[in-house]
Amino acid sequence: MAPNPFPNLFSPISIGHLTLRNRIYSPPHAPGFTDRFFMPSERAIAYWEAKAAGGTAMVSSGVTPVHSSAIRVVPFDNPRFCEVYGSAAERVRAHGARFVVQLWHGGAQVGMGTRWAPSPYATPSEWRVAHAMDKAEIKDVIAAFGRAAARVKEAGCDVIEIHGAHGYLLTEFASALSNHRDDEYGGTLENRARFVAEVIESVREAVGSEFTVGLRFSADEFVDGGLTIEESQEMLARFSAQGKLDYLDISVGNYHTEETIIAPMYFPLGAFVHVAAAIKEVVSIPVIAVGRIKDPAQAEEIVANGYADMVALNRAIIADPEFANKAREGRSEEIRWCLGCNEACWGRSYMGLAEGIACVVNPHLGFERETSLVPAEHRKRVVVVGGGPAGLEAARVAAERGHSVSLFEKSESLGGQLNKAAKAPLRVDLADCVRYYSGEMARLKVDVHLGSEASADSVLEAAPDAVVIATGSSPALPPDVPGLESARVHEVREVYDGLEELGERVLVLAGEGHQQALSTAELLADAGRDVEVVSPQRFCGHEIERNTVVMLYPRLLSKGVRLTPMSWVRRVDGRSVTLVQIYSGGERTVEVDDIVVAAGGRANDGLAADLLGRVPEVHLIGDALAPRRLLYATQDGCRVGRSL
Amino acid sequence: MGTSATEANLLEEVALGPVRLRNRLAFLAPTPAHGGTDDEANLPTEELARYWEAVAAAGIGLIVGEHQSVHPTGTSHPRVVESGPATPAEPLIGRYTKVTEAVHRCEGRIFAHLYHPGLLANPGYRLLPLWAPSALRVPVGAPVPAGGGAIGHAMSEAEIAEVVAAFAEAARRAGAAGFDGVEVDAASGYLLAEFLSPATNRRNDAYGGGLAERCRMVVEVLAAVRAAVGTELAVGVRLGPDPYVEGGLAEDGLPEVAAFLSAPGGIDYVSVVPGLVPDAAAPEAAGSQTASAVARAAGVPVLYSGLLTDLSEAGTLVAEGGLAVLDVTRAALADPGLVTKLLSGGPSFFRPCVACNQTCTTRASQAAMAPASCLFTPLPSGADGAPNRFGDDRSLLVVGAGLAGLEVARLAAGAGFMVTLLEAGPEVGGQLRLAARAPRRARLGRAIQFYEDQLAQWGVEVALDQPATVETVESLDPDFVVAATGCLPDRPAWSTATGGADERPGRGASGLPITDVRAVLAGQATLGRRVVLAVSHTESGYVSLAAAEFLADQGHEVWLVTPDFEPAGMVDFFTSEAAYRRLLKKGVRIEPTCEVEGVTDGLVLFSNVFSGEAGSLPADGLVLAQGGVADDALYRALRGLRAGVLAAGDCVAPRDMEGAISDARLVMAELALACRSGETAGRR
Repeated sequence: MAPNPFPNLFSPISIGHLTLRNRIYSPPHAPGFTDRFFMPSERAIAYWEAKAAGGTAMVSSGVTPVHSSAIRVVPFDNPRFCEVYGSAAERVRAHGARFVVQLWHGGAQVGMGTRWAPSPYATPSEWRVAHAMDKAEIKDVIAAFGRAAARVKEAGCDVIEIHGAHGYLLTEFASALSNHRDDEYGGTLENRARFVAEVIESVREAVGSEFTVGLRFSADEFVDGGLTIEESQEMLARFSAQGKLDYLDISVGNYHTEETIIAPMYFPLGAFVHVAAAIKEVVSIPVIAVGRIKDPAQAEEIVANGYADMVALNRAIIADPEFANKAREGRSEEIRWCLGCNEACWGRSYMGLAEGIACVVNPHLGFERETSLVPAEHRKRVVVVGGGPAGLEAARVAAERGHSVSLFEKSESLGGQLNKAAKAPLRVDLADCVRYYSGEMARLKVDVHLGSEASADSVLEAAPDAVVIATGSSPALPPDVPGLESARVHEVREVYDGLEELGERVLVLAGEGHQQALSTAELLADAGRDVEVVSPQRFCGHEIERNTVVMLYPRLLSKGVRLTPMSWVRRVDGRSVTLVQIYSGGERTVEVDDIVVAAGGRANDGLAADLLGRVPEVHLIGDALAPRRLLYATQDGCRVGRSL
Repeated sequence: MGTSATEANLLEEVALGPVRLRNRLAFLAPTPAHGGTDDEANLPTEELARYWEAVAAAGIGLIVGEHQSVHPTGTSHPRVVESGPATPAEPLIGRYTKVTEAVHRCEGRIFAHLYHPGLLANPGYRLLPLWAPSALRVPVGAPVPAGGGAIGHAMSEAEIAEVVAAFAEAARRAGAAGFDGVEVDAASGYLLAEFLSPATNRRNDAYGGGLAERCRMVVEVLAAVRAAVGTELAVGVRLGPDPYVEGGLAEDGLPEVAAFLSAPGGIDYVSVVPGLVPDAAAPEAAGSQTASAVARAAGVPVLYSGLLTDLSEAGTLVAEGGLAVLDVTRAALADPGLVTKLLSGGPSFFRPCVACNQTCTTRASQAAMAPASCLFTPLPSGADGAPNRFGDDRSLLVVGAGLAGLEVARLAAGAGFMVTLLEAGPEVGGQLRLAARAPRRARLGRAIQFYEDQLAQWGVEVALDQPATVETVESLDPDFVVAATGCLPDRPAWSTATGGADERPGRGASGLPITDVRAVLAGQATLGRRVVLAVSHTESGYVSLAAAEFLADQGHEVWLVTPDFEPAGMVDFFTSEAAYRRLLKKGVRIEPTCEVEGVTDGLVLFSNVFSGEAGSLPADGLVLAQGGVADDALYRALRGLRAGVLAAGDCVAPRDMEGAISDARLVMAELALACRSGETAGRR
């Protein structure tokens, strides 16, 4: 057995009276697997359990509201609370991990009905002005934290983490940005800290000195007038000295700077570790760091250098619950990397995911039990045509289950459209998906043929028991644009290998509302082109999750890209393009050298039609079934791989 | 008042094929969301049975129920019932039997509403591709659904047959569960409508091309449904135009389609629905002419669905328009006593639908997915029945006659309190009265009329032009006080303006007149030709669009500057779509992602919130739409001096109509508790 490659990361640590087996924490986040009473469902418990089984030392629940101003029915008052949360804790402990419950009040940022806050304050994204709490209401909420804490202990959970971060109620009291009170709860730093201190006190009172209690805190809000590292050092040093906390979970941001809370791939790795390090300098209790930590070597360095005592890996473990096991066993190259795309986790509402989060690279997420891979009853010869993410996932799952799999890819590389998408500015993390699958193909000994365009004949020659057609989509132009053929038109994917062909002025037609049009616009602007993006939607990039789009827009605008929403093309006449404003009917003509169209493409399903009836099983997946997003490619691939 | 001759025909019996309805009034479920969650996902629930029972008990003649998805590729949410063959027949049929039995007990009739949403499905629920006639996405101009509107999978003939069979099986189950009829949804941009529309159907096989080809799938579904249910159930088809879609199925194309579909003789009626949900700006009886044309062409009875908020003229739609059944869903949601009042023939106070589209359409169709209700009436039950008179003649003072104060006064008087309502201004209605002055939104004012009638009926003492102070309250010394003092217009720090609905507009340091939206809507703003409307993040309601249109109608050149991606983000899609069209056609310009930062000589200064780039607009006036600040000074002062002081509405925190109404109900609950526990009121 090889020596542990990450000795610091995998050394145990004491937090309060508990000993944790390593330094890896799955921090609080709400996957949305709750019933209508906001109680975690079986899916939630299986979800947490998978992380514990995967080697994580400590696993946290998501936000759990303590007071009826935040939610109609408080979970802690639910008669099933102890049964459900106790069961979660037991199942997590059974795998050697510890279970944390995060106590929370959403303040002005989140809540059903009227929001409560220290002052009449409103925040993105709903901008609902809050009700300024009076003293009675303050006392009530503090008491509610205490009652909730008592229930957590009663249920047999291991740790309480008080949510004092991310701009919710506690941050709102601590921060001069949101707290404009002139009583003892506002004004000076000590006054602003008072509410948080009283909540900590109330919790500690309720659970006694031997229960592990931590505080999550936004040690920099990144907003003028908000909490700074210096202020946070002072506040947290006080809390540490008061001796009622066992650890600090140091995060950043509030809803004005939400992109720092769930940082998209545009942020460098470990973007906020320095904040945790600054806090660690002034406190005597363990400190946890978070934010774009996705690689075990990176995590090892953070702990080894003393920047933090533990690392919180949220999305990295969402993408691969076995992260810790793989790292500890020297199998880091088998880790399925988080891309930082936020599309199906934080951005799930944009994808219409009605039942909680998903992950574009982890199709098992949320269905850990249902989709665990069962070995195949009969070993089949499986031919997968197409080495994009759909085909790769199908091949991976089929091979993992014991089938004999060959994969044919027309081009010289695996990855499909991901290879192009990863070339867009600051989107290189997308290539980690290809890196993972390439490794899996090798590990699982899938017979990969690159530079091999499959035909019906070549497939039949392989005498397969099952064929998976994952041949993706071809560039296609949108219908109903009169005169489009008279211009120099390129489908968006073609641009990534052929930039030099484009003239000075480029018009990008955003027939889809996600990343393609805007990322490509940025690529073109970086290459010195004069770019205008036209979209029929109310605003360009309508489907891009908020944290990503608020970072993309400043770059696009500062690079001179012009965004023209609520518009489409009336007609094209060579270099002249007449645009129409959809609501007013007003027209405007522009002169352009080239038109780049991002409209989704045409399914390449011809091979499926040719093979139907000539092989025992034909499955059509991914863009070849209908051109869609990455999530559907991996979901389709996994589903088919499991069904073979 | 009373039932006119025109209203009388609404109460006549009418037949739709084999089914006799006790009157011509129908309730069409506005949303699909009636299924359950947890282990009841995609199945009808007990809650659903109670919901429809209440509607039937209220006297509605025909219920066309919630959307039932017939195929997994069409099921968008756990609360959508899926009734096709992929679902086991039990417990589905057993649960629906409870629904139909409940409706029949109340002498109502209920049809099963079967659909497949096609490109409008949310693929994020089942993670399946969208099925459609052609591999296109939702056309430009149509609503973009949750999950973004992906390119559809062009259905093969085998897949078409699969969906036809799914409709038939769902219909068979509906018959087995006791439904009186089946309505096949070929409207609203759903799958069957996508086959009918040339904009979405580009097939060149037997299912695409000319009229007959595009109708083929619908014809097959109707035939299969008829074969499945026999002749004792009514079978109908729902038709409607494409909304705003170039080259789509327009209103004038519907009669031809209806004639074609009814020619084979297998359908008993046609429902005609609008392309988009009508909003407050839509004319009364919008689309009824089209429905009448369909009635003439189809030769079968027509159910008209559009906008009926005032039933006094609805009878002419029957008598002269040739329409058999009228969709009165929204009128019935607003006033569950609707039918009783029509039947009684005596004087009646109809609580009016004002077509605000909030809880019946918006909240119901968002991710939270709830059954449709009315903002003013939480459940379709007889909420106005004899209330519990726990007030027992205690005195209650309400300060402020905006929506929250009016609702508290009405409910409290009904609960037996002696209510006095003090209003600082000359009229009741608060911000709602201003909202009703927005162009095309006069309907909102009917809510105020309703409250005035209610206050008179319940004997509430109303004192206008009576600002209340601590002294006023002390001298009246009521048992309870409810502060409903609303909110003041918020001002950005750089603005030196004064100005509200009842104050004169101020001028900034530059001399540029600065006022706010309330003054504009009150008609008290004096502005030059070019006006910039400076919107804040906290103002995401309709008011910025209202003021912009008001000014445009007066001939001003208007720029609407908002720091958000779009203004009025809280407004429902249908209302804002219609407003955008009007505003932009009237030349209003929208400058998104920009925040106004100040004024200088004749210029309004702003910067882009993303790039920081500064800009300016020459202007002759600036209108602030900056949200509100709770006007709670009186409330906080009284709380320190007296017991029994409560608050409702914007003075708690500035919100919306729903906030005001729900606060009023919370106040009633607190009053009930206080009265029962014998809490001492009055001075501390």
